[in-house]
Amino acid sequence: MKIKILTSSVFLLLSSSFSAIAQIEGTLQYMNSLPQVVINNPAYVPKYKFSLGLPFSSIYQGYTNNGFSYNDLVTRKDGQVKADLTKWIKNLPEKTFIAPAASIDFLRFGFKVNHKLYITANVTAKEYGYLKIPKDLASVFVQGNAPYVNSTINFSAAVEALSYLETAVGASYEVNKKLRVGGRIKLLHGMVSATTQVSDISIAVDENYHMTASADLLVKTSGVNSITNSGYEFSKEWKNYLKNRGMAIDIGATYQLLDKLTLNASLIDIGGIKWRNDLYQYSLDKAKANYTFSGINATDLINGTANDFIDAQVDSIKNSFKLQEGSTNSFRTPLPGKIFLGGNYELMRNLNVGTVFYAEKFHEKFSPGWTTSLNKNFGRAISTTLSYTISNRSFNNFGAGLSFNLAPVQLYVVGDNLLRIPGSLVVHKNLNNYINTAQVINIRLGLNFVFGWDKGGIPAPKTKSVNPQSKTKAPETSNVRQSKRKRYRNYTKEQ
Amino acid sequence: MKHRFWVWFVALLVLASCVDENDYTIDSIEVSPTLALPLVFGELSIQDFIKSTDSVYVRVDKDDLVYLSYSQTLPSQDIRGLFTIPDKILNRSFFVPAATIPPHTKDIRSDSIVEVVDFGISPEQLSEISFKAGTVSYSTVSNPSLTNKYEINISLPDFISKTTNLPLNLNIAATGSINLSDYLVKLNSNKFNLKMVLVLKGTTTPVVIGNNTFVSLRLSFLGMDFTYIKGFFGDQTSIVPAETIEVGAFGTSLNGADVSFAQPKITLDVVNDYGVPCEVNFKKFEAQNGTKSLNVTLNPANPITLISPTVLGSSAKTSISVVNVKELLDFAPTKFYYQVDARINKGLTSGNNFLADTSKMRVSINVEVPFYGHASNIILGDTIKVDFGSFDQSTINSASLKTKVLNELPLDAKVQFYMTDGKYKILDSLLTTSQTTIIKGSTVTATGDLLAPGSLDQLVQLEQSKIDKIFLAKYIIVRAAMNTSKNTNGTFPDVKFKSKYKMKVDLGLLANLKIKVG
Repeated sequence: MKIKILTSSVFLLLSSSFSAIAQIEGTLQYMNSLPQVVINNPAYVPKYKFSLGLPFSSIYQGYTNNGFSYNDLVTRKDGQVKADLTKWIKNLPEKTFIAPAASIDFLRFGFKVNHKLYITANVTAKEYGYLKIPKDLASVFVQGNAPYVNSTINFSAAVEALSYLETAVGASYEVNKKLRVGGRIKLLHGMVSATTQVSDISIAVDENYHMTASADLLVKTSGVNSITNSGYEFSKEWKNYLKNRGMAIDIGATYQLLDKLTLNASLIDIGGIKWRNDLYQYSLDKAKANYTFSGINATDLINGTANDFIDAQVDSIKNSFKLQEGSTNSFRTPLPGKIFLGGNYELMRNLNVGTVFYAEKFHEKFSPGWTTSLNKNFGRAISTTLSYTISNRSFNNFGAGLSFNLAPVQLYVVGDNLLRIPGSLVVHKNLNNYINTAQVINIRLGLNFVFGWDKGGIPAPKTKSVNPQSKTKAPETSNVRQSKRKRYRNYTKEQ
Repeated sequence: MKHRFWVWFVALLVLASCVDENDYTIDSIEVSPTLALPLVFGELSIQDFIKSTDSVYVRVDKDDLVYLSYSQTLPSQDIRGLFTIPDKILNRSFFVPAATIPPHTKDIRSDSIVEVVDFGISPEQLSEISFKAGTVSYSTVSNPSLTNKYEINISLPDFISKTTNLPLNLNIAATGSINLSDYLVKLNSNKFNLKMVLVLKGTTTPVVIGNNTFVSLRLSFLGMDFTYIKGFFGDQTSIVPAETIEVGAFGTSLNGADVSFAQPKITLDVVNDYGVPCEVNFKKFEAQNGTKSLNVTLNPANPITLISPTVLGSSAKTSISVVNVKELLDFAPTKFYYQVDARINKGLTSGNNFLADTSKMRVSINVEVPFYGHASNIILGDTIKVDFGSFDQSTINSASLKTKVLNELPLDAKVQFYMTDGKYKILDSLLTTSQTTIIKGSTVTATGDLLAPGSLDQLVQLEQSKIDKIFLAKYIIVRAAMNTSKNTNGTFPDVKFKSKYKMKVDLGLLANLKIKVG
């Protein structure tokens, strides 16, 4: 029955379509041996009562590309690698987002005060960005503008990038035996930002091949312009970066719907940064930046002034599309906000299956995704996760997580598309097959200091460890079950 | 802690070593874009086909018919030049008998001379001269000296001041002059009256006059010029120097073309300020084109009697039409040359003529050429500098010329693009002969008006061998050979070009490229 339900769920999820991009670690969602599990939901309580992460204890690198993998770009024949751009553009989405992301923990701290309260703190440097490439922009270079006769070529590329330092404190609190809520407040210090606030660039081609270009563009930056100036020294400038302040919150909850089924939901990175340091903008005014090229005016051709006409047109284009630069006022950018909705089902002791739908919203980019995972703790020493993720129009993401819990040291690695690495090594003797077909690569690895494996639930001596997401676990023996029931009754009596 | 970080870092490097880098060395990139580029656009009217040198002559009549209008006037003052007033000098003496004249309080009129002076002009018999310049100079001496004892009264009753309307009257005792510009003189066949009186001045002492005493007077009319003259000017002929009217800039749009205009018009206007019967004789009047010439036939025929004004200061116009206009315009002259004599008062012995010093005879030639007719072999062209040297000529797989022309003008055109090297030596043409007809003229009614526009919308496939030459070209010469629309039987009917007729042109290039890197 359990298998049937799981199979049905997976089938339904596979049949759904995900077309955008997300920078979310789905596999991390239920890997509760790691203190970093709270990243996706502040209501989560990891396995260890106390954890500490020192600088560089957790390094995250992510790359997502919802448009193509390397194999979509090339063909191989007779040992030659050829860029097959026709094949490349064939399956591109209307908007390709290429998004790198990274974060490094400088400090991470988690402490379970009692069975109700778990507090966390972290100082983390984060970087997030994306480059939006309209399909037309790629297509026009591959196919030319002829396919666009009587239509418009969209050149509205955009770039978004921000890096900041996050200082956060959070807590997870058990409201009752079914409901646990969590929250985290974050103080943000922006470092560098580039944001495309307006990008509406197009070329319309009419039936007579006349081309009308128009552009409306506004890109604002912070902390970028001064770097390019001679004499820039970070040691003298760093204080200015403290001007870029912001706030954000994370909230989350878990709810035990059934004995073995726990639901979870969270909103992460709800907030933004106001940028005040080294502000600069680049713009094109739509009132001025438009131009129609219709060829040489026949009158000039007849009058013998065609060359003058061409020169005048070139000057006109230069003037119309000259990028305006200058300082600008402060501006605000939101963080890439995320939402998680999931559920975890305990198949058997120390074996859970979890699934999570998530979505990320960053400026115009809305990126849903789905991960389902099988999570297994092999005693206290080893915790594993196997996952499957659909994200970024990519369906070949088999993830894995592995932590060696050698308390007080914990080594771990987790990622949404890691499982194909060993497969590629075994079958192809290299990583190329993996890299060439991957559109989602993310990996988090590091080392934590952890103490006190928490068996979960209300403290119960002599019971075996249970999953924190199902705190009232079914006992293995009738004795244990009896003991827990007694405690539960005692606990309820006190209420 | 750092140590452990490096462990992870090394692990990553180990993984990186499992990558075959050759897979990421792209040996070649090949794309085959198809570009749609606009080449030429515009909405042309017949005025656009007229060269800038001609555009100043373009007019549109009330029926919207476009025509060229040219007018040039050459003024002549050769008749005025026939008339000058010569200087006139008079020397007269008074004999004063010997005597002792007792003291007297009043002047004593001693002697006088009255005479009629002739200016000596011929064959004119002037009756009136209004001076704009000239002087009457005078001087007197006595021998033995009678200084301060006499004066001479000069009276010119025909010289009237234009300011005071009084006659000229002088008392002179020494040297002096009078400006004549304020005077007009009434003449009788060039003659005027003069009276000179010697006057002995009153004195309180006796005046002793010795033997052989004379008083002399010199009267000079010098430097006379007129504002106008009246009278009879005589039967005279003025030979006007030959004149050339340049019309080279006019009609150059059609140079080299075989043109036939349906209703051209050339008129000759002679505007005459001279109040004198005048007859002009065009000894030579011809249109010239290079070394070739064609006589202009006038109506009325030579000699032509001009109409004269009846009042001084007015003008009279005599219109002369050109008979062989069509022949002349088909000849496409660059200039008109004429040589003319003007004869006044032919066979007359009297009359009331007048002229002013500003009087002229103005010969105007007026050409009106309505764009109504037929033409062929009209050539227009331009040279465009290009440089595709940096492009690989094998990059063009194929190319087509998109031509879309909706033409209300009754004008067919064959357009060719010649590719030349840096010395304008033609390497090749872009189009084959059969592909050059890309502008189709409108059809016309029996009166030459628009019936239906010519329409052409096609994609002309270019030959690969010709495309390749583009990459060698330094210049592209665009040459359009045009003719007016033909009838179904292949003849050229007379067609009209109205200003509202437009030719909407859109030329574009559709080129499939092959770009290979590596």
